[in-house]
Amino acid sequence: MWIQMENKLTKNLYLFPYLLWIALFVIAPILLVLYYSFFDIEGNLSLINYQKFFTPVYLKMTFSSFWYAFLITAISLLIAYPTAYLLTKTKHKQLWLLLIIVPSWINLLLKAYAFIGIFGTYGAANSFLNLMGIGSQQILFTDFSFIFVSVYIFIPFMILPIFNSLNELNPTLLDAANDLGASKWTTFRRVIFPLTIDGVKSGCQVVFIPALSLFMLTRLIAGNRVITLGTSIEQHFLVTQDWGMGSTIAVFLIIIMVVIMVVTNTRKRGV
Amino acid sequence: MNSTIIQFTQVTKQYDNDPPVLNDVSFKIERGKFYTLLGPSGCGKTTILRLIAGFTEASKGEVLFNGKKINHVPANKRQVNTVFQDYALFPHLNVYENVAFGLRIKKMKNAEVDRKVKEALSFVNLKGYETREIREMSGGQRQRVAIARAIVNEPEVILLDEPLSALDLKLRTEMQYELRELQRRLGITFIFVTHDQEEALAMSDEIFVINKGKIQQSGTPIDIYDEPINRFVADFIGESNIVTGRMIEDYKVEFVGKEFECVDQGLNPNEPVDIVIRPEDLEITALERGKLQVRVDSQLFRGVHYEICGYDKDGNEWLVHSTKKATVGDEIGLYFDSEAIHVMRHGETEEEFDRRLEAYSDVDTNGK
Amino acid sequence: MNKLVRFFLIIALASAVLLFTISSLNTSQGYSGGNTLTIYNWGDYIDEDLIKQFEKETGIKVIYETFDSNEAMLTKIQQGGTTYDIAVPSEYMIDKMRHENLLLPLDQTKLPNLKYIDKRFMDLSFDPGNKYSIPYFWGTVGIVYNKKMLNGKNLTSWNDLWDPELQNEILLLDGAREVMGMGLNSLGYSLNDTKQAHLIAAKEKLDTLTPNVKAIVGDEIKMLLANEEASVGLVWSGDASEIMSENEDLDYVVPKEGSNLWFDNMVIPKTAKHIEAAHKFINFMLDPKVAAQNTEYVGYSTPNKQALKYMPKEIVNDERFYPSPALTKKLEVYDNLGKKNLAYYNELFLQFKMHTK
Repeated sequence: MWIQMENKLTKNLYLFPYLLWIALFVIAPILLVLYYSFFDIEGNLSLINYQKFFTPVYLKMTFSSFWYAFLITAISLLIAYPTAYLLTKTKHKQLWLLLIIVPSWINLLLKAYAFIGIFGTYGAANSFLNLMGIGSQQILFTDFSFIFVSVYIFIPFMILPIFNSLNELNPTLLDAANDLGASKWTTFRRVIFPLTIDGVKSGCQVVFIPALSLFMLTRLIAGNRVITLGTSIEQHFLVTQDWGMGSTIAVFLIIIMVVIMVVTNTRKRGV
Repeated sequence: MNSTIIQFTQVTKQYDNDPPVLNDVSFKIERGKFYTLLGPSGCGKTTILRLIAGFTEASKGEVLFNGKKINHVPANKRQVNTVFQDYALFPHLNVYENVAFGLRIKKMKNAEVDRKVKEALSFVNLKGYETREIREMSGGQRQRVAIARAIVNEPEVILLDEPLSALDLKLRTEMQYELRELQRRLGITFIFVTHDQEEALAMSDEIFVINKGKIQQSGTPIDIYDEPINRFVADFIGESNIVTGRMIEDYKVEFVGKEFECVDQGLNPNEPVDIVIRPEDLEITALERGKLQVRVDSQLFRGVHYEICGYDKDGNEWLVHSTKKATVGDEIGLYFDSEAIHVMRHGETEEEFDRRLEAYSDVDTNGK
Repeated sequence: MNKLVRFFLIIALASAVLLFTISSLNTSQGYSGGNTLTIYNWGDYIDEDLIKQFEKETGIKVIYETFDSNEAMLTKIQQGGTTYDIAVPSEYMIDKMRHENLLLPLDQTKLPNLKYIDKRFMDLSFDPGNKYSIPYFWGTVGIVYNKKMLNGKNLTSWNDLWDPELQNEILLLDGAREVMGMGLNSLGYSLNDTKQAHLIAAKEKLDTLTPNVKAIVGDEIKMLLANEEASVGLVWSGDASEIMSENEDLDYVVPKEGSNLWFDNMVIPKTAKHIEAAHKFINFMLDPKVAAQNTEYVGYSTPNKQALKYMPKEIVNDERFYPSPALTKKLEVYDNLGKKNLAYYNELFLQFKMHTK
């Protein structure tokens, strides 16, 4: 009896740091954001920010954030899946994986600056195009460069969960499907993909959600030609100091993220 | 010839510059029989299975199926189905869809699929388990699902890759009966891979004993048990006492420094040979009546018999299976018939061995 | 159980030690005791020889620290951990700090050299009567353009930017006041205008500029212009002089309609411990010879009228950085428009940015 009680107590004690962390760094900030969203710029309690969110400017911004996040996620997935698949087939797969992950350790700003150089009028990309006889193109500050750099930055986070789920896949399942008459494509469609869907889902979450609120790249790579909700939050907090409006946008972002998490986490399978 | 369904002609399988996994192997598999490929792990038995299933291609030689060369036919186009060692059931599909997998790929009509899946499931006694998820099934049940998934496609040959190795002893024995029974009812060819000699002896019509990429011996369980071709087979199949000896002349052999009468003939005089005597052929008797004298070193009770281990004065170990009890430390005599002595020539191939056996079985029948 | 208790005790103890160290470090920083002076300035914004000279003349030891944004400086002074005796914020920040009571009033009797400062730069809206601040350097907002890339074309007016030949050639600063100010100035309005109709007109005018705008960027505008990524840019004069030294083809102009006039100013924050020494230092920096030397080193425009006499003619007569009195009259300091107006500026700027798509 006594030992049981002590065990319970110990368990609660171990739980304490975690609960403290959650309370301080997850729940409190969300509540604060919610709290601030009800104040207008002069500090009066009001719903004006919510009203403002539903004006064309912010709705358009929301839509374009979604659109770019969707493009970034979709392209990342299209590249990451085959890459992860090839990685599982290579001899030193952990080494190759490391090589893909290492760039994600480099500071985002550094990478962005590097791409300004590469995509610039006199950068490597344009010298290559000149060499090919295509001639100089406007690459920097376009949708293309924005999506390219975003995909480059996010792709390790897409590859990793997909690689893990592919790596855990029992290879005899592929033999089994083949044995039962499935072609390579059918095997992929009916066995490999359904069994790695969890990896795909978490990859999409890990990419889509941050992509929705990207802000640094919108200025550095897209030259503010792409305006996302993240850009707007940054501006409201740092420049205008309209914390109320910034918080309101953040509230909507949080709601969107929760919805995405719930939608993509509907079912878990596996033995 | 029509009864042959699979034929290997001088098949070699080699990866890069490693020694071959399968070295110049030839054999025939007949329709409707239960075959077992028996050997230690890494001997090449699973490779034979994978060559038949089409998961790998032969480096040299021909694989024939119904008389047609199938070396380059991909696995999904072959009329064989496999039951895998770990069952390889699809975890994202339920029992029904696992069994229906092959039929759905053939784009069979739903009603037809339904009929066949139900039939296959009742064949393996899993009626009513259709909507279960795989993770809700026990090991033995998964095994049956795997079998149902293979037989539902009505293949001419079913390959079973150590399918019982993950089951506990009791369940394994049960499944041995069931598999054998299933094969009889279906009337199709089963090729069963195992490293368990008891399993092989109990289930098979024919056993291929394989070692180091070569088929050492093939034949019925009784043939192989009674007439092992060499030290490896004798040692691998059942328990045996193996000593070196010398053939003095026909019907006379010398080992442990004594001469014994035997039934073997056709060997060269003074040819060095290996002698096998099965433990159950040794009979405990009084010291002076025994053909051999050994000191009992240990004794284990095995249920149906005692397993007694002793050493003769030259230090050779002798294993005896006897219903009689002995006392550890005692010196006892061992008696055996001349038929119990099995003489094996060094480096004899299976063909040579068969020819020799035929030769003196003729003599035997003539003599009687 | 016991282990756990001990574990927490150790953590508590470790935190206590850390806290103590931090607080003692904080107080030791700034040397509240001795004959010292702690200066908090922008990076590379003073000729360090002058600090040595000051130390020699007065016997006061100078501790020199730098910041890279007004906001970062504000945060550190608000926290009060370090006892800075002098800081050098920009004018809009002075207005803010003044209202938040973060500044100490100056004793002008201790600053005899104040008389050398050009009257034009005294008594401005952000600090009436120079109660808290003394101008250190000043500058403008204008247009940097690449003569070579524009084939010798000269830009003189904000409205020149609307030239269709400049399609996709203009880089703008990511600042609502700067860009909206450009729109307002181009229409002849004040860049402190708060009339909604004027602001909307300015925003609509800016919308028609979008075909010419290549990007709206931050600090990297310097690198992009120096690398000839675009031929025209809206920049601060300080940045302009920096990139012009990197690329000879670049020129700078303050548009004739007028523009913004900005200041960096010396102040004594509330945290100061050595007020006497701080006054001495400010007075020292106001000395015409010192100011001249410092200006030549830093490369910005000095508000010290007397100092111009000690400087090379080609610098003093460069109208790009020392605009003519006629043009100077049209330059305006950003007023603190209040949060609400500032928010409206930003709202319009955001809409303009969305229009660039």
